[in-house]
Amino acid sequence: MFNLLKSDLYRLVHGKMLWVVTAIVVAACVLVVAMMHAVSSPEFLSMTASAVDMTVTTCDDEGARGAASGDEAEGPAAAAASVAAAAEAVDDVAENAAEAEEGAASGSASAELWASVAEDPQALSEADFEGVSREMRTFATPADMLGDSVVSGGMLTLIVALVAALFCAQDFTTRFARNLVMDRRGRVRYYGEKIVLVGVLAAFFLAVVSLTSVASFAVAGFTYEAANSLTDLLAFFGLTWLVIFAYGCSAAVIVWISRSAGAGVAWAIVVCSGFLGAAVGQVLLSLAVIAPWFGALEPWLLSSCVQDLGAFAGALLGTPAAAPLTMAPVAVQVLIVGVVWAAACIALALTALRQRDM
Amino acid sequence: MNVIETRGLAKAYGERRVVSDFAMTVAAGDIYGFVGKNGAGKSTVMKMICGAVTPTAGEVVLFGAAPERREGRGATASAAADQVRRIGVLIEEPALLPNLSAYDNLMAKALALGIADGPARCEEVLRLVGLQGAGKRKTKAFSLGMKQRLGLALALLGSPDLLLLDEPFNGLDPEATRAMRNLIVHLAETFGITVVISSHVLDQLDRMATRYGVIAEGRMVREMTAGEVAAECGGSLRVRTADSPRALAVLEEAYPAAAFRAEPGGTIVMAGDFDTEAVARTLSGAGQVVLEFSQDHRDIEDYFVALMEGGATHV
Repeated sequence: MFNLLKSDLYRLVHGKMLWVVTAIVVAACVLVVAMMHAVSSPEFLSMTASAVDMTVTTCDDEGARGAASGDEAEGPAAAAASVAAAAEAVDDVAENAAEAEEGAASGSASAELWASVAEDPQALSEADFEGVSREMRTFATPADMLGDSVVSGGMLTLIVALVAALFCAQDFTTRFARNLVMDRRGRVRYYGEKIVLVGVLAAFFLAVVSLTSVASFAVAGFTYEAANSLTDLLAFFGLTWLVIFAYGCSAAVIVWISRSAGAGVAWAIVVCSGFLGAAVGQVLLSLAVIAPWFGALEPWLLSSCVQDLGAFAGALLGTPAAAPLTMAPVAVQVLIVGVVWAAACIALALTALRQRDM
Repeated sequence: MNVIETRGLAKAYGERRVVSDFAMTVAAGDIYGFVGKNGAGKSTVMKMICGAVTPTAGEVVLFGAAPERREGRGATASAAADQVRRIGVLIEEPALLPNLSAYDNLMAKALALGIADGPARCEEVLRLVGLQGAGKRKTKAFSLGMKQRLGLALALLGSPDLLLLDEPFNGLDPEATRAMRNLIVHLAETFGITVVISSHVLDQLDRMATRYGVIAEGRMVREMTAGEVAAECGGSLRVRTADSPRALAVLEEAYPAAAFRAEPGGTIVMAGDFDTEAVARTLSGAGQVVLEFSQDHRDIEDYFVALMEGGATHV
């Protein structure tokens, strides 16, 4: 099995796919950081606040004008529409302000900013925007940064599943697997090695994304309120790796069943990106109105675990899991779901699939 | 020692039986010409021999060891890996990674097989198949002939004792076909590699095969040596005399090992191992007036086509 792994790593290193995907992943991470840097700049915040102020002022003025001249110029319907538009804009700002007031109670600078915009936009100084910018450029912990910026979006799971699907499919589309001449026992080694390879790919891309993000955020001037404990970091990286690995294994199994790169890619895009999981989650939550146990299933989806990893990245060991495991931390829930998915894929590959002819 | 021995081998896909009760014996050192029509089951048999396809019934004994002994608890991982290295395969079409160079394709397999000095062995097999100058080129830019040669190089990488080649002359021009044929013969003679080769190019098989096996509708119709094929294809003599019954009696007495057939019109067809001049002298000595005396060479293609279509009983 070790020889097969060496062979696959040689193919990956000497081929283009790994490097092209790695370059795309690095570029995507840098782009995310650049966008977050841009939207958290004092200039951008000032510009946004001005735009909101102008919208409110304009809508107020136009609404009043329209209401006044409506009878003469455009009729009552047009006047009503103008008033409605103005009212809508004011409502939006008021909504933001209401949310901001809640936030202000917890001391959030951005919440205070929105509250100020609603009350008196002219009173805001450059120092206010810089304060908000500083706050936006400060993550709670490095794990929270990674969870928020790269894990919760599903990019990592999608990338690893895509690479795993394309690489596994190549063995069948090119028939390269036939060069390895395998009896049934050989096929167990073959599938076993490929599963190990998916694990290596998951670790590689997790490392690439983490290092790129940490370096890019550091260069862009982002900071952290506190460092993670070693246990929290291990829990975050271990569980993130497990979930990525489980998704990668599922894509590989789909390829082995279908012997088609297209099926693997489709699975990666629809399922491993979290798209299907999110849809199923919504359906389950909707059905909870009829039977509550439907809603209780939602946290046990693999896609929900990805969301949990993003939301509670720095506190996976301190946040309670969903029912019925409320006494245990969310880390245990993610661990159970990840292990069940990965084990199901591995069992399928090593039992049923090994019976299939190469 | 038999390198390959199959017993009651069968393969079915659902209700469709592709191979039935198939028996094949290939001895060490043979260049075994495996002949059959399209869809007769040649590729399936070869895949079952190399392990890529699992038989529905029967067993394949390779190098004298039955599958249960090869795959059983007692067999170590290194023994299984060694088994893989002892078989080189080129089935249907060369299995190449198009985005890698020829050298990288070979290295990928060398690493998978655990070959100790991989780079040197890769260079060696590239030289052996005449691709030493093309090692760095991506295989997607290769011609069909170059791909076939690289496929053969991949098959040879583990220094196999058994080569399974399915249609290795496909897409090759006459010069490349001759080069490929010479290479196969060279490998068999120099390294003692046993070769099982299926091909529709029967005249190429005729120039190198030492034994033949004919498959029709998934069953082995007949196995024979090259000598037997030559005797059955080329040695018949047509004789017609004024007294055919007497001439037949004289010849049967003089050549008891030969096979005789009487045709309408008094023509005697004589097959087997004999000297034509000696037959003429025998007839002359017996006072027979010879009306017709001609050698009949049967085309090897006609011979195998008859075997493939009608089975051994109609030949």
